[in-house]
Amino acid sequence: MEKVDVLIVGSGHSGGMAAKVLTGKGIHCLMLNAGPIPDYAKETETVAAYQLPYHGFNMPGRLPNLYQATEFNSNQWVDQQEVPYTFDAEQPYNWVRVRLFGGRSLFWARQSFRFSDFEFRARDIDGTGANWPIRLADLAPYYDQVESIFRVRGRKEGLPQYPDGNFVEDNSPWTGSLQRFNAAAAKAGMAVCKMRTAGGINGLASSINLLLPDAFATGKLEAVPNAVVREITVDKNTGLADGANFLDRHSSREMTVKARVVVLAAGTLESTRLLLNSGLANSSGVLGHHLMDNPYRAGMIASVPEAREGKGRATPGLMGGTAFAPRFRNLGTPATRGKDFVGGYGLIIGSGGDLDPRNFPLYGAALQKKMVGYAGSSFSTEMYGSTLSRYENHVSIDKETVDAWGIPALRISAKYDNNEFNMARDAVDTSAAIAEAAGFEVLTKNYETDPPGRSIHEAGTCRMGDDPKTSVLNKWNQSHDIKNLWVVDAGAFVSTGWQNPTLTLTALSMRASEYLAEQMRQGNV
Amino acid sequence: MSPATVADLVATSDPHFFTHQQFATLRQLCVLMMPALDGYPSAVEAGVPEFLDFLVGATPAGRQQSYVAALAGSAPARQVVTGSTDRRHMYVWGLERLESEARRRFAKSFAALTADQADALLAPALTPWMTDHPPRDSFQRFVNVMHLDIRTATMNSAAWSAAAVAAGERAPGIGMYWSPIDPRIERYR
Repeated sequence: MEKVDVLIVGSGHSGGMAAKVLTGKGIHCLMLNAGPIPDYAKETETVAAYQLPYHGFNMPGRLPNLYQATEFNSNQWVDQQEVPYTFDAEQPYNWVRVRLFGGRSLFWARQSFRFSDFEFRARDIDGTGANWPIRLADLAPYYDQVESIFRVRGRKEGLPQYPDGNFVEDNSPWTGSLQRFNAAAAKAGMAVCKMRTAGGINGLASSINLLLPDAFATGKLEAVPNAVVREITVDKNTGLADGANFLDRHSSREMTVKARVVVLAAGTLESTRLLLNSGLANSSGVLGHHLMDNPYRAGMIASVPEAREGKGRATPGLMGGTAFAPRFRNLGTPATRGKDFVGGYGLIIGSGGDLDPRNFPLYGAALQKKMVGYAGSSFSTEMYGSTLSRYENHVSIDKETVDAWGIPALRISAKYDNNEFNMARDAVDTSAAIAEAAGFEVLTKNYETDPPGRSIHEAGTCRMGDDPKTSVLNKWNQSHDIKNLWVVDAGAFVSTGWQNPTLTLTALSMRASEYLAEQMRQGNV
Repeated sequence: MSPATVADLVATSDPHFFTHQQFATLRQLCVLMMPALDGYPSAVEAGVPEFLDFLVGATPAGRQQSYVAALAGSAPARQVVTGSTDRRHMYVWGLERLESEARRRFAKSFAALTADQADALLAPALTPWMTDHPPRDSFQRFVNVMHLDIRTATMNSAAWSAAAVAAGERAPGIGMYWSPIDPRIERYR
C-alpha cells in the first residue's frame, strides 16, 4: 500500500495552513475531510422568509442548541442526528460544528486579534491555569504572515495587551458618538481602539480561497471529501502513528491510509475525540481536560439622545462605526485589578442603527411611535470574555452513544463559574456607566452569557506544554508520546484569552508545520 | 405572488394545536400587539394566529424537553435562552394564565377585555431584554417572547413583504437559503 508523507485530518484554517506550508516544502499531503465540498451556486438561493416552511423561525427541534442556526442556514451545520454529542442536562454545552470542506473557516466572523503575553503567561498574570511554553515573540513572525494572508485591517495602537500587527491601515475617523464614548472610557481607564478584521478576498476569508489554492498549485496535495476518520492507527513495533482507518461518508465503506506523519486539524474537540477513540497520546492524563471558550452575549444597549427625532436625527457625522476596547482589567497593576475576577475581557462597541423593539416595554402603536423616535440612535456594547483553564471542564467518550458510522460520540462536561459571571457583571456595569457618562440613555442590560461553546471558540483539551506530565503536546504542537503525531488546531491552546482563536491557531499551525517540515528534512520523523 | 407553504395551507382551517379558547386568546394578543400601522398589515391580516398555532404545534415534546428543562430555571443553570425555549409548554401555560387572570380580575374572557383591561394584564410583564436572554419569570417570559414571535411572524409574512414592496421599501426577511448539502440516504428513510 502506498504511504503518503503527511496525512492531514481536517480542511479548516489549521489544516489548510499545514497543507500550504508542507506542500510548499515539497512534502506530499493527503487531506481527509469528513464532509462534502459545498457548491454555493447549486446549494444556495435567495428566498424570502415566508417561502420557507416555518417562515424564518427555526424548524422546531432542529439544532436547538445552536443559536447561530436559522431556518435559512440550518443545512450548513453538522447534522446532530448523524453526529450526536451528549452532555448532562444541568451543564448544557453548545457545540457548533461545520463539516463542509473548509470547515468553520467558511463562516467565521473574521475578527483577528493577537494573543498578548498577558494570555501566554496566564498563570503568572492570573495566578491560576498554566503558562504557554511560548511567548508572543515566538509567534510574532507567524502572526505577521497570517495577518498578511488574511488581509487584516486595523490600526496600530501601541498597547501591550492589544499587540499591533501587519495591518491594512485603518485610519478612519471616529463618529461623534464614538468620540464621546471613547473620552468617557479613557477617564475610566479603558482604551478604545479600532477593530481588527480579516478582509480576505472577494468576500471570503476561508482556507479554501486563502490557503488551499497554493497547496493545490504545488501538485502535492490530494484532498478527499466525505471521508470520516474512525481512528489513527499505530505501528505496534515502533509505537509511531502510521496512518488512519476511515470510511466513505455515504457508503460507510472502510478504507485505510498509511502515512509517515499524521497531523490532526479537525477542530479542537474532533481532534481530541479522535485521539480518545484511538486511545493515543495521553500518558499525561490531561487529554480531554481544560476545555475553554469565550463567554458571549452579555452586554448593554443604549440610545444617543442627540440622534433622536427632533434633535437633529442620526447623522453620519454623529452615528456609525464599530470600535473595540481590548482587555483593560488585570494587567498586572493594582489599578487594573478586577474586583472579583481574574483574566480579561474585551468589549465590542457599535454605534448606529435602529433600536431593537425589545428595548422598549411597549407594544402596538405606542411601540411603533417610540421606535420611530429612536431610529438610528442605537449604541451598544458586548463582552468578549475569557474562561479560566479548569481541569474539570473536560470531554470524554460516551460509550453508549455512537454516530451514524458507529464511532463513539463525545460527552462534554463544562460550565462557567464565578470568575466568568463576575467578569460579565463587570463588563456590563462598566460599559453602561461609561455610556451614561457620555450622555447616552442606557435602555437594556444583560448580565447572562450564553452556554459554554456558543462562541464557537472551543479551545484546549490537547494542550501544549514543556512538561509531558501536564501536557499532551510540546511547544511545536508535536505529541510528547508519539513523535510523528501533530495536533495543529486550537486544541493545543493553554489559555483562551478574550481573543477570537482563528488568527492564533493559524499562526501556530504555520509555525508547527515549518518545524515538522524541518524534522522530516532531517529524518527525525 | 402566491407562495404555498405548509403554513399557508393550514391557515384557513380550525386551530390544530391550541384549544379554541387558547386560540381566541392568542388571536386577541395578535390584535393588541401588532395592529395595522402606516400601510403595513396587522398580525391578524398576516395570518399570524394560524401560523403560531402551526409553529407551536410542530414543536416536539420529549427529548427536546430535557434540554429545555435544564435551562428553564433550575438553581445552577445561569444561561436561559430563546433558541431552545419550549414554545409548546410556554404558550399553553401563558395563554391559560392570561385567561384565568382576565376572569379573576374582570370577570370576562381575555378575548372580551377592552384594550385598557388587557393592557393592565400585559404591561407589567413587559421588560427590556436582549440577545438570547428573555426574562426568567414564567409569565414575563411568555409575554415578552410571544410579543417577539408575533412581530417576527408578521414581518416575515407575505402580506408584509407585499406592503413593503408597494411602499417602495426594502422587503424584510430575505436571506440566502442553504439546501441540504449532499445528504446521506438515511436522512430520507
